[in-house]
Amino acid sequence: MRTRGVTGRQPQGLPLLSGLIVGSLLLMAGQVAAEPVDWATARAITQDRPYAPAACVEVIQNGGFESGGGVGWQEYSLQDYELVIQFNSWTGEWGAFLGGVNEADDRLSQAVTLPAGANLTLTAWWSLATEEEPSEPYDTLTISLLRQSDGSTLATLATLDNTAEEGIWEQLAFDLSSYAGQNVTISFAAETDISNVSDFYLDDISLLACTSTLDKHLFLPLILR
Amino acid sequence: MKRYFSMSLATILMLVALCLAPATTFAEGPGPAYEVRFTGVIESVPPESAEGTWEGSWVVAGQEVTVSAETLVKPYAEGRPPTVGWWAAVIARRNTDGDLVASQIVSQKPEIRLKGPVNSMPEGDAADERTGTWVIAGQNIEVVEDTTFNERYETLGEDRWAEVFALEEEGVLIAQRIRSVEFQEEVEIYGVIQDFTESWTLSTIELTVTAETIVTSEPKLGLLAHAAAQLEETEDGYSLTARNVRVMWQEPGGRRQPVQFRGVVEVLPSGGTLTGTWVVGGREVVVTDATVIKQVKGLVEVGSEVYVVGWEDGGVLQATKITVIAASWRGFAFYYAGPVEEMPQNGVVGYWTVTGQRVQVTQQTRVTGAEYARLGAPCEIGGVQRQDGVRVATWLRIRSSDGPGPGPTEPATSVE
Repeated sequence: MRTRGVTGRQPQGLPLLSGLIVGSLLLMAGQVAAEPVDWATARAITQDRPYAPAACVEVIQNGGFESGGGVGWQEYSLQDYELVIQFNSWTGEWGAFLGGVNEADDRLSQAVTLPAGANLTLTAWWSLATEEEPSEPYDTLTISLLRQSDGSTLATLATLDNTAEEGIWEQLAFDLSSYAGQNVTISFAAETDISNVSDFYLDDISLLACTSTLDKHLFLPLILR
Repeated sequence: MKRYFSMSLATILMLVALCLAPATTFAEGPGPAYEVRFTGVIESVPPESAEGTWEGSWVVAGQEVTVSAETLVKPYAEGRPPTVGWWAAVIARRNTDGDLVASQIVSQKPEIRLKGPVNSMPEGDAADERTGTWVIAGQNIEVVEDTTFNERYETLGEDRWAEVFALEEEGVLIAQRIRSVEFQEEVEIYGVIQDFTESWTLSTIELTVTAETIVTSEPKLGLLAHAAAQLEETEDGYSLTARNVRVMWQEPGGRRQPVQFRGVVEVLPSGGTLTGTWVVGGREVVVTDATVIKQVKGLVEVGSEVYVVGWEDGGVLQATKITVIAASWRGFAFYYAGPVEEMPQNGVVGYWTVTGQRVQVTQQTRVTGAEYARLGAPCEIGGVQRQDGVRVATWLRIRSSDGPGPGPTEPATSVE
């Protein structure tokens, strides 16, 4: 089933599934811990191999836009508007605003190298204001991965449009792990039609590259046994 | 070891079952349980638990709603928990005993939205010169230092259209954000129902509701409502007469069931007017003066594809809003404001000239203030320019020369 206002890859299931698995593992650990466990030994082992949470690195520069325009992001606007502005932000003072006029062609992008072997999660908050009716996707915001080599589209992650609910900030999440090791450009591109403008607001864009140590830690009580 | 694997498997299965449980329970709930959706002011909310939940009894717009562990509660933002005075969009199940059990509550910042023409504003473009009282759609709006502006559509100015997002503080509307928007025929208000006796009040904004006004759902104090209204001049300033008011309450079984669909216009009323019975996609649709008709992407004509929003009552489909989504030809929207320079000698149908622009007014043009029609009278006119260059007015509003609004010496505004 298509989520209204969003087409393309639907990554929202991933957090649920991973949450379920992680939750199950944590519960398992808790249940096992309820049994008599030699915690002195456990602590000793833990100290030898200290708990190392997934080491994550933020790949995006100026994802919250609080450094203002011109930092980290490439901005292109057919009608020459600044895309990073202080108007309607999710957090802080600054955010990105694409569209907002008829026949807009606005693009916000950032070139990044996706670390090899990492679990990569791209997240972003977005909100819509539109004069369009929710009957037809006239105005769109496309989130893509482009190849740095030639600018061609590597993957279209989602296409948001004016049929989404207005005035609500929603978080998007995409698993980019399958693109690890590649040089890509993350692109947010808005296009509006000839009448009834749509505003696309973006904020707090993050791309976390994580190397997980989850298995070593969570199965520790089982290993002890 | 084997025992632990069995336990693990059982745990995973249990969690999967827990995740599926709410949907299953809802679908197979007892008796005629059904879904209710509404948005209103949070009147009471339990304190946040250590687990970060808000289980217990909430009161939203006078309605007691039970929030359980299964309820998905979305705070407005991290660190901004649901708060008394904020708004909540509730999806709940009405049980057979009448109780409401929430499946989802989304907390919202209590921002009133008002879309209309800027009637007056402080002079000066610098940020500090903009603070003070603005009049937008006839309402006093206080612009403060923290108010932010978005003028990408066009520079804000008198007679330009704006949308303001405001918070109500002791009866005063404090602007949080103002953005320039496209002109339209009617003012829009989204706020809290504070009164619905003789006149209505939405978040301090007074509205006249007449017998012609379409009101969807039963109003209740504290519920939110979205109104489309006609801005009119009075001796004291301005008044707003509601064309329709959509109360943010949706419950099956009521007399007026919401309807929305798209279809092709097959039949229009005879006599050239738009009020009367249309046939859209094989369905009869009643259109009155209270129906908002949006003709920006094309004109209403037989063969146009339209999007109909309204409600059904006793088999009659009453339209609250009809939007042309595709026409046989696609033109540019236009809008002019200024004095009437030329007009037909008899009646209003024919060619008008406003700020040097020649515009055709047809029988389908929705005209208000026809009694003020004379050369020099301030007016606003909007519509669609056809591919052959003819500008066809979809609406025309003429004002008294004595009242506020664009006078004969005001500069014209045009948007194409």
